[in-house]
Amino acid sequence: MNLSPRALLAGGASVGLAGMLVAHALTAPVPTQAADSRRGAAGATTTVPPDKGGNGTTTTTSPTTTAHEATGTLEQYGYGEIAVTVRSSGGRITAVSVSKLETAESYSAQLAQSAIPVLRTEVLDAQSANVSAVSGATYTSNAYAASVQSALDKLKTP
Amino acid sequence: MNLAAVSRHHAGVMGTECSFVVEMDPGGDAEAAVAAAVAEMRRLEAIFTTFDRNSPLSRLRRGDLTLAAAGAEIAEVLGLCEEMSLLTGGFFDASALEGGIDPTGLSKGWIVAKASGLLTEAGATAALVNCGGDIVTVGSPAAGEWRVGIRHPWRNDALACVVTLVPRTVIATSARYERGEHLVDPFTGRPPANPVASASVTGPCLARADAFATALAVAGPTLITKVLDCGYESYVIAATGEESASPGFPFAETG
Repeated sequence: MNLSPRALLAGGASVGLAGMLVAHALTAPVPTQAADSRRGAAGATTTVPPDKGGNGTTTTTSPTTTAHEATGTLEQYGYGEIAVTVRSSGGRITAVSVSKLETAESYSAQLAQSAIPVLRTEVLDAQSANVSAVSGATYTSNAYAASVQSALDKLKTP
Repeated sequence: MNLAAVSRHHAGVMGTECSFVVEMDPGGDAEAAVAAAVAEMRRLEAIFTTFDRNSPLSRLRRGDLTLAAAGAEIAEVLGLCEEMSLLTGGFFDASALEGGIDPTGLSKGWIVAKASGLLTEAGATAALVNCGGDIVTVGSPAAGEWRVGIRHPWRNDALACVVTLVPRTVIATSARYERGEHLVDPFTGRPPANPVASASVTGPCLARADAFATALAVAGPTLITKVLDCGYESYVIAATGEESASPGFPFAETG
């Protein structure tokens, strides 16, 4: 098949990236309307800021509900390590956040921490999105799932 | 009103699951069409597999076969590799790894696209073929377009987004890391400095989209502009979760 170049950059011409790219954080604390509509999000976004607390922290959020939190084991994956923190309340998971994501050429842990993806209630469900196919594969799927499971196991043990 | 029958089929090819959505006029034989496409994929895979030391590509890599004698398929794919190396400024580089030329970054897409042409030859009015995340579409679907999800990089059961594919467009998503293979930055010889969790490319040709997605996974979102200049749209999710996309990337409307 032949390529159809849409534009040819002349030598030396520079194109500002800001004009060409739409940059958006997958889990920005204050998601924009455009981003939500683009991804077909239903309902409001709920985000929980990454909690810096340690394992097994218990905080009271209301007179009758107690929040629990646990951090799963540090799992190895292709480029480094990942650990996931799970927060639950009333027996249900309320937030899952990547608490440690180290890469081979690493960022500082703090830089990675600042944009940690957080599980939100409106994350698109593959079953209900009415698609014919799915492209791609999970990045750290096995390591992520293992760390989540570990955190869940810790939450179950009093 | 299109009365095409829609059927789904699966086959194991090239070490991964290949799924087919086939639209065919009633009376057509979708099973036979898929079988023909799968047979062609396996024939082409046998040429390029590096797991078989006697495949033509394996022999070429160790010098037991000259390029002139390696056949038209290898010549075409290696020509594409050269082209894509130029178009990506070297971020796609079939010579980046030791062991000889390795077109894996685009040969899978090339094979899937070649074989999928057999579906319309066998009477399918439209089809979508998904081979391990490399997706090609043929014909004209009854709905006018296809809805395809891009897998969420951190959740097995979630999507990062939904895209619409108009007829005869493809989508390739870099997924080499899933199988534990390493991406190598050809300029440093080491893994990329700022890892990309997912890079998806849409456009007319799956082999090229495959190569662009591979290059984006190495280079990061700054390569999106170059890829756009070649007529391909991109969407990149960095390991930090930050998203970038070319303006025309076909995100689906809500609903």
